[in-house]
Amino acid sequence: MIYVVTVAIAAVMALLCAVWLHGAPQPTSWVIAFLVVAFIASLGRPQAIGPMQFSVSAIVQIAAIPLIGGVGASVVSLIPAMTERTSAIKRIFNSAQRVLLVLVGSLAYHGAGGIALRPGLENVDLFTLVVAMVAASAAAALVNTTLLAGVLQRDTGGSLAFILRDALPRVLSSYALSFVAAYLLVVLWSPARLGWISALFFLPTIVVIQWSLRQLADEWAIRHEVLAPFVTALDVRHPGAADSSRLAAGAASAIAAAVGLRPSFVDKVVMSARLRDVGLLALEGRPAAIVRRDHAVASSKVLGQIGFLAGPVEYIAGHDERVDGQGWPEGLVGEQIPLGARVLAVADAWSDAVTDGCTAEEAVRLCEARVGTALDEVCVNALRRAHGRGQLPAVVR
Amino acid sequence: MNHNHTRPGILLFAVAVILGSFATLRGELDGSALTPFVVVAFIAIIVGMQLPVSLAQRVLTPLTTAAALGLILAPLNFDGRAPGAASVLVIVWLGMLIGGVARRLRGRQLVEGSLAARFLGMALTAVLARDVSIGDTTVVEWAFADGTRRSLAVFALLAVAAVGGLFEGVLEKAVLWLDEGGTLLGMMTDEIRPLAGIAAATASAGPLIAVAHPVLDWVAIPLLLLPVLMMYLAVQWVQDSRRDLEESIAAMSRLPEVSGFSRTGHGRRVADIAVRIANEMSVDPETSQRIERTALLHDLGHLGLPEPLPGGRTLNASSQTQEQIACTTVRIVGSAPMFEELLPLLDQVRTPFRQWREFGERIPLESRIVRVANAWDDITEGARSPRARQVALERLHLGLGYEYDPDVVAALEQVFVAEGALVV
Repeated sequence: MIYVVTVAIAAVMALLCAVWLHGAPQPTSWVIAFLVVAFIASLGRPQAIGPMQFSVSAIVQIAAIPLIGGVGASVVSLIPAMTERTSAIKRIFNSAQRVLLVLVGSLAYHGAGGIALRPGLENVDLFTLVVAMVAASAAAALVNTTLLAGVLQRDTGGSLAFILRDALPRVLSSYALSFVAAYLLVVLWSPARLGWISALFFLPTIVVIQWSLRQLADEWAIRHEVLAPFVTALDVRHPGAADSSRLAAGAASAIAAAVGLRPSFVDKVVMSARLRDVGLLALEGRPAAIVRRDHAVASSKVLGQIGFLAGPVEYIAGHDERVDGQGWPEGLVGEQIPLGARVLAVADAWSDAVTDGCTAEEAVRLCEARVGTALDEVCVNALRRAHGRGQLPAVVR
Repeated sequence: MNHNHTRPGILLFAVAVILGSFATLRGELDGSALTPFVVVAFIAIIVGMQLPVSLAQRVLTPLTTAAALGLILAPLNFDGRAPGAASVLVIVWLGMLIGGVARRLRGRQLVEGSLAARFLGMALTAVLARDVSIGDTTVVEWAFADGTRRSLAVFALLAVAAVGGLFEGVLEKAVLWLDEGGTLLGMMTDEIRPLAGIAAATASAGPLIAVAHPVLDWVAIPLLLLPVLMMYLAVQWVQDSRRDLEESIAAMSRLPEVSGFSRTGHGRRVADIAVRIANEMSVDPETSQRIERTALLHDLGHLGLPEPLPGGRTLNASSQTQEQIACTTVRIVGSAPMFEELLPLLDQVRTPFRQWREFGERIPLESRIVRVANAWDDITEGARSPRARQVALERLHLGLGYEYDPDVVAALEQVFVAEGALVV
């Protein structure tokens, strides 16, 4: 709360300074056009693609900097706050955050040699425009990440440096996309002399980008959601499987992130952890020893036909391997075992121990005791780090 | 896609070849035409042909069309003269041909009718923009004249691009109509919006490339093709999502059989029969899709039983057991919120038809169809001999109006009569 108020006050001060220095934004017709475009852009909600957030409003904000200046861009960036359906405190923070990032972006733009584009301007140097707009986007992305990390740090109590390191690449990549689109809009608007009509022509593009991001988000959501019935079906046959699946998935996510794997890879490992026992369904009524031996491999009988699960199925099949080569089914040694399977083995061992009544700390120690024989050292160290940061899933008794 | 090489399509292609050859003879091209802008557009046309999008029974190549429109509408200058439509169309035609041949060499599909429709649509745009004089100037000359407001010009360019685009759409639909009498099978209404989006993005990218050409020269092409490329990727993502979902549902439908609770292939067979009944009753594609999914998932609840039913048949199970199965099915399928609309349908598969007749309880059509299809497979056990079918039909007739919806059973009979597999 105090943090949000501080950010809000900073934003208001910055905006007042900017108005005092530059006066009201010009030219009026362009400002009005921008307000309309910003309003239409804000109707599309930001899309979450896994951990990434993307909104087309960012395109409009960055494009506004060269065309209607920092003050104008700030006003434009406040538009989405009207259409947002969130709590007042969130709206205030988001608005303040946008104003700050646009003003800092505007400073960076002029610092990098960007000029204010006005109607009737001839011969704009397009290369300088690229450099200046890149500077503006990068500065905006930095401010965005820092302020957001501040909120997250207050929420989770994690380390600020870690949160920053985690969030910066994601924010930067979404701003890179915004920059390209914004550059297009600016070039058509001023050097190509289309003026506000370019916004009209750009709308299909904005809608297209919004729509395609929604498709990507949907695909991501489908891939995760569609796995739930498999876990539930397993829980029907083996009560308690769903909770154990949740624990293993949470642990796998934390371990994979602590090992430093790419988000898409983390995603696959998490899927494999959720589904690691699904093979039991294909071994109904078999003797216990066979079930213990074959359940990992049997998962391909259940999931083999699902294309996007090819990676996860491979990890599941290998998660009963041991780094000393005494495992099953192939008897692979150390690095021969796929990394995803090694992470899954640790997550599986930890969640099993917790399910059997150990505390989270005891379960981590149990895993540490098995380093070098069954479990991989790098992954167990990552488990220890994740536990230290409080990222392992909570145990509900 | 089974509409690749149709007679009307080949015919249209022949027309395009004649027109393209005519343009090649009439077009006046020499070394002065090889500006960077033309070369980049030519490359984009070839590359675009490798990235087709199939939507709502149409095949589009958004990148090719956008780049070609940019070329057609740009204020080109070959040796101090503005080239006519024929000269520009040569470049487009050759690019499309080379791109098409490259695609065939890579062992991919090429739909001649769509390629021809695309070229003819662009040819119309080119003639309107570069050859038809209004007053004493063509549209392109007027659009880039000094006194013209650029914002007005871009609308005029968009208008001629849109006319060509509509012509392309009409031609492509006509080919389908002539070939099939225009079946709309597999036509998903949720593909209409993406199609409109792609068409709008493609048609507006062309004029924008043309307008940006004086400022950005050849850079305009890659830059303004980016949104179109994004659109292309989005459609791929849509199709990926669909495939992911289909594969996952298929795997789910096999859960009862891999765990020994139902006969092998039962879910798939019930789904096939149910969809054929649905087609016989001419239901819309969305309902048909719901029917298929309901059929595939209707037996998941068997997993909740302590012991498998004999032969996995629900047909002879007590209503209590059937209720328990339905309850578990809903629990399993309902754990994914995206299947919410299927839950009431899955729950009602067990409801006998008399509930409707006697108590006015509305049973959804999807459930009534799956109920009959399931009974059919339970009785025939997948056997396809005329004898087995005859027996099964007799059983269904015994429960007509009481267990099963007569209309659905009649449609099932029609399915087999139409296939010649049953003589009534």
